[in-house]
Amino acid sequence: MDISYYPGCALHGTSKEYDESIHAVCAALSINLHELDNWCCCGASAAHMTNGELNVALNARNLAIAEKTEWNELLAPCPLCSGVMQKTQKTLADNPEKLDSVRQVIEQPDYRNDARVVNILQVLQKGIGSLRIASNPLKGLKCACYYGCFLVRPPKIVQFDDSENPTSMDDIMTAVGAEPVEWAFKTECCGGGFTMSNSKAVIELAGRILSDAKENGAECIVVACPMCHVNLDMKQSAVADHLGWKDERLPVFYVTQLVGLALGIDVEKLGVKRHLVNAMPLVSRLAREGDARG
Amino acid sequence: MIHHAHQDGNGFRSEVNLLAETSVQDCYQCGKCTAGCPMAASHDRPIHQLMRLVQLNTERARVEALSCRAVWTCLSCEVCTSRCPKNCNPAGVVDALRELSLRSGVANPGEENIQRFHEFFLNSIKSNGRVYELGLMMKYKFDAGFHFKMNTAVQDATLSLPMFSRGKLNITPDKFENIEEVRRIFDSVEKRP
Repeated sequence: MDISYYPGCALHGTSKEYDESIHAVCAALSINLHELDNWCCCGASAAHMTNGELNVALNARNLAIAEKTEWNELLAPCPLCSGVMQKTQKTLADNPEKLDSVRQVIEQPDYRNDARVVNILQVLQKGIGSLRIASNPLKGLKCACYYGCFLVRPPKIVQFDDSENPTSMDDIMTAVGAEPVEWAFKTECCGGGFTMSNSKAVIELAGRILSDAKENGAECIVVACPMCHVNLDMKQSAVADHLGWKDERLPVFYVTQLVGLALGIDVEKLGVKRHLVNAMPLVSRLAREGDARG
Repeated sequence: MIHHAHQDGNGFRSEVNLLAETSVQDCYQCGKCTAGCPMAASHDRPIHQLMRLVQLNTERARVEALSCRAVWTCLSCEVCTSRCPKNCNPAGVVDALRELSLRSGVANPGEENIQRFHEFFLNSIKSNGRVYELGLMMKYKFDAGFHFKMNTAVQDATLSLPMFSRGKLNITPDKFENIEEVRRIFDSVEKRP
């Protein structure tokens, strides 16, 4: 299968391991990723929170590039990127005058506004048959599947899974042998783009998520969003101080890293060592248990 | 401004409705948006009150809504919009208020950190086509230091070394070829009234 790929800025920077693990897993599932030529930033929170028209124009520019490829779907693994793309599509579909105007702004008179944007869980769902027969199933791994905001909200725009109790990531983790825990914070916001500008809020919100995961027996958190990863992994030592945790830490994986481990992909290729919370003890334990099972 | 309390907010409500693609008149103040809001405890104005201020459409309501801190402390997590039983778009309304508050120059100075971060973020796109994370972080930190906000300037300083050693921070911006195309988009959007 061939699909277009929009990594977005974070996956070329602070979230390289997400990009690395997506490439590794897609290769294993025979999915060929074709990165969009000369994609620009989607505008992220800054554009959609302060300048609606700029947000629409930047996204329409990228979507116009995607339309010109021969592939039917565009994978945007960062849920903020895919969310603002889909929001743009809805705005332009509902307002023909805005569509006319954005065609001029992006200098693309033939822009149709009909690319199909998908998230990483939708791509993994297609390969779920291969995941069920993965060579190194993650047996016994208790994980908290964390969806955050834009994978599932607002439901009218993203039209994916259940916005209050999503299960698609849990299904994927179950398929590779892990045991997702029941917990209450699957879709609570982690503080998103406030990592630098309102750290106090992030520490409070990320703290609630990490403690609920831990209280419900999770050994790790699984995410599909670079901002969630930053707030839960990079900020975890600050959050731990706030929560009064001593040495306890919860490793935070991208869903593609755990799927990759289950498929037997080398840990180096999945970028697991890039995390700030050391995930290697947990990875080694899984490997030992796998060996013991034979 | 008390004597302006009953003056019409100069099309404030229609402008918000247009930007947020919604109709705030439909809101019946059930408070479900505020009940689910992760930032409700720290907002100076809960989200259902912002909806009410837009409904009121008076000059005083306009100034109160545009100059409150909540439009900046809102995370745009979309819980309110997802749960609204009247199909209003509170998250979109806050996006609209934020935009209008910048345009009319009444953005709350108490949340300047957040405003500056958004501004630097957009500047980074305009200069590089993609966000150059290291450059953005340095500019934001230097600016905070320059304005004597030392807590902001030194916050997370201990993270930079581990981020470098794990290859999470690129020294140079991502390669991007069509910067003029992106600048023309910024210019054309900025030129509009």
